[in-house]
Amino acid sequence: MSSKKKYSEKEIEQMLKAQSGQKVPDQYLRNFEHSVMTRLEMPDPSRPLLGITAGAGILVLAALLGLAGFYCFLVLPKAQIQTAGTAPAETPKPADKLSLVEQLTLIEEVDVDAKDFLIELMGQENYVWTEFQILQPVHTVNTAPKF
Amino acid sequence: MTSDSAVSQGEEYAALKAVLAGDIDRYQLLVTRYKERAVRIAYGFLRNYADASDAAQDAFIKAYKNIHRFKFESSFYTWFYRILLNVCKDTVKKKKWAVSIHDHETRLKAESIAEASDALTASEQSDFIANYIHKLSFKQQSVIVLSYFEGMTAQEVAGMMKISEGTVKATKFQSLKKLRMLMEKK
Repeated sequence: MSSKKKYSEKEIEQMLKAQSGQKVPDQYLRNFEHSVMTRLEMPDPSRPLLGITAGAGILVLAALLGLAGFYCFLVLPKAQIQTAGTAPAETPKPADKLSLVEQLTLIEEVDVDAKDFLIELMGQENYVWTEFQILQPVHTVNTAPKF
Repeated sequence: MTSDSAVSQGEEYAALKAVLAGDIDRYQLLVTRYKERAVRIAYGFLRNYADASDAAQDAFIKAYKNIHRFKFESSFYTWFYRILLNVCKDTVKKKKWAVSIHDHETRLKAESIAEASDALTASEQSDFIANYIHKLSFKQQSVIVLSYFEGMTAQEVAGMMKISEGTVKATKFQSLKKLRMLMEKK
């Protein structure tokens, strides 16, 4: 089912040229202007739809930003505190028995801003971590923290 | 440029200025003047008069909505056909799935025509070759449609497509080569 015919570029050009000036059937031109002018005078139906779509898009974006803010500023910090709080619970040693290494590990989980202060406190051997994640002097463990 | 075309351009500019000033009815002059050529060009890409007529109408609407961007530096014709080419390009993209569905049918038709190609009339031959045009890239199709179907010079095609005259000639050469390859390849 194959054509073995060879074509020269001249022949192909002739075939293409045969399309030039081809008459468009009248039926496709008859009401052409009328259709265009009617469509031009009609309000653009896509505009309100665009407005609605844009409005919905803005609402969705605002909701997403709200959710992201809620997660970053409320959920995440709490989760970090809870994560930090679970560490001593897994090692239910008495507060005054925590080794220096364990204490330093706990410091790693504490907020960076507080770190310098805590390290300074850790330098004083009398301070330890309680199970409530509060650094306090050994002799006051199990009593209410003073700061 | 002949004096007749100069007058036409003057009329066109006057109509365009009136349209810009809010006289929507004056736009009809331009629609009437270019509708047939617009449908014929669109038909070159879409191979269907109903689709071509819709695409041409869309192009006229789009041109009207963007008429404030017309700079009065070229003819309306050049500016409008650039819009028309873009509309055709979008329509071809949307219809691509349909073309691929009918591709097998089209190929069979083309093959059966090719078998008897020695005895084909000019019109049948042009239909035969048109079946292969949609396999060219859009740029190649544009050059073929504007050069052969519309009989434009390389300079006119270059102006319309915003490419150099050399690129038009090279694209035309490559398109013919590809068409020959497609027609002979079985």
